[in-house]
Amino acid sequence: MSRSVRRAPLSRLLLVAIGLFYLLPMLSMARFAFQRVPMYLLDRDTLLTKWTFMPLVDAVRRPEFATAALLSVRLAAIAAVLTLVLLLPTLVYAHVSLPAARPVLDTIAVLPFVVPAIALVVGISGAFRPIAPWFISSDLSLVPFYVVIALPYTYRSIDNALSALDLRTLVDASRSLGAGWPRIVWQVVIPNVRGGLATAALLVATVVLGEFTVASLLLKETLPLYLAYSQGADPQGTFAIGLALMVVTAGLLGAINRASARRGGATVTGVM
Amino acid sequence: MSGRLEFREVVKCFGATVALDRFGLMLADGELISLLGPSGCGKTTALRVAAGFERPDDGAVILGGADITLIPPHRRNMGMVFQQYSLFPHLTARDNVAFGLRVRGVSAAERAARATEALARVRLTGLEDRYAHQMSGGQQQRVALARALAISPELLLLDEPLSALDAAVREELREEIRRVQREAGVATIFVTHDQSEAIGISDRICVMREGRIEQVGSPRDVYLAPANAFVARFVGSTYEWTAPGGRRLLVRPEDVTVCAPDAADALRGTVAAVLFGGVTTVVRVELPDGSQLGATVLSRDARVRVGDAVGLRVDTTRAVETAL
Repeated sequence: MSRSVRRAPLSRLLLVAIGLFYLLPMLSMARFAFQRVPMYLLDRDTLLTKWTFMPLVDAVRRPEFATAALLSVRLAAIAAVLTLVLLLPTLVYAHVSLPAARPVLDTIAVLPFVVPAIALVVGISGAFRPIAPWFISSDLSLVPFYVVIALPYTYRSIDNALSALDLRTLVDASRSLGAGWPRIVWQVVIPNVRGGLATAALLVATVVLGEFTVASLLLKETLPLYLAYSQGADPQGTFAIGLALMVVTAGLLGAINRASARRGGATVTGVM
Repeated sequence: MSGRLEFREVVKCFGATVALDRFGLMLADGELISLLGPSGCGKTTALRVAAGFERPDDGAVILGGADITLIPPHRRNMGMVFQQYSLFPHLTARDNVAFGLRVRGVSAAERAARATEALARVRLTGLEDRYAHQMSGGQQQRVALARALAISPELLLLDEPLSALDAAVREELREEIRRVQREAGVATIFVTHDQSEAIGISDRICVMREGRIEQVGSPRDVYLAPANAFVARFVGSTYEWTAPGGRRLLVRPEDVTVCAPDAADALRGTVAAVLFGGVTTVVRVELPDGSQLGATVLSRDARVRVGDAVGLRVDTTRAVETAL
């Protein structure tokens, strides 16, 4: 009793400290991006003056931004779908029929951590350029890289969601009731791991919106590349877009979390 | 005789372990048969072979005259209740029960009506809209039973459905299963390792050991006329006793009566323990040769104390001879 009373203010203090650690840089970013005040005047006195969304509006109106953003969104969607299509059946099969394979899969899933993106690009483009040059020149060639780079995160979130279920019993019950595999995956597995799947998809999107090395080496004009290159020409607009992206991602995460919590399912972290 | 289900010389191995060794058993229409035995005796494997989850290495499974050995589980039309809670977490009780009907293409209105009716049969009216996490273990297993019966299965398979429940609920649900099974008139296999459960629910009991059948018979037969020492030991309690003449016998405590220590042709011994069990009490008596015999007495008549000298009379007509 006395212990928890003493600990409560301490943990609250810690929470505030962590909050400030994240919030202060974002606040500085926001002031730089959304205030029409020269940088050397950004101090306490000007905290509430001349706020405007115009830098963001101007920045997103540039045709180059629209092209890059659309490409990234398209790549994120395709990579997310490909991730789910590859991982979900594999993991369901491993959980139900081949539990002995799971440690092996666990290890494979973290391999992208130890293979540098540059090695991946050099190896794969070296292998494909002579036999399928169209693959490397297509924008879609980025998709497999994104799927692989995001694998350590996406694998974990789907694996956690599946582990929270007694999958073998649920599958046996479905089969005894007459359901074949497609129906089991669609009507039994997916509704119960929605949270984990949403997390995985979101993590892929995050990777796509932040990945620089591969896109740069393959000379694709994705959003991160656009942001990096436009920093010199329009620093204010670039910061505005960066901040807006963060807010949108956080909002999306929160929305998914709340939606799955309301349905009594797993949350976006994938571990109930 | 033609049965509903027949295991014909079924063999199933897992690596070097023989789970079922020429297992042969026939189920009649509407019959409830228990597979009883210690863990690892093959009873769950037999059930999973019937369900189609395991494919036999040899032999055949015949249902209503047709060979179903190679038919996958989802084409077998068998209702199954599992030891683990197996309700779909994202569905309400009603939708769980309706799942099998949905698979069969029954219209939404009809399956809602049939699911509600199936839930009423297991006395769960009013809980149709609850999710699994809002129900007790006993209620979840009732829903699972309703779900298994809603598809009008040709065979009902129960894999230790009571073992996760506490004692009071277990007894109540056992009677409920029996009642519902009788009403549905569906042939049923009930797997359990609990002999009292098997005795309480079955038309016939099949006692198994190491993939083989030791005895098949009515609960009465299996209890009162065990085929061998294994069955006698596994079903009910027995005491091992060397009769005059050197025969080793397994004797049930209800075949032993306590009398005065000086009674004519009674065995003499000392009370080693008095085990109160509600209606009856078992008096455990140590004999001069160091072996022990138990005697069942009505608790209200049990007046002996540990250390008392008593006499025992043994009725050996139902005793089973055992090897040394």
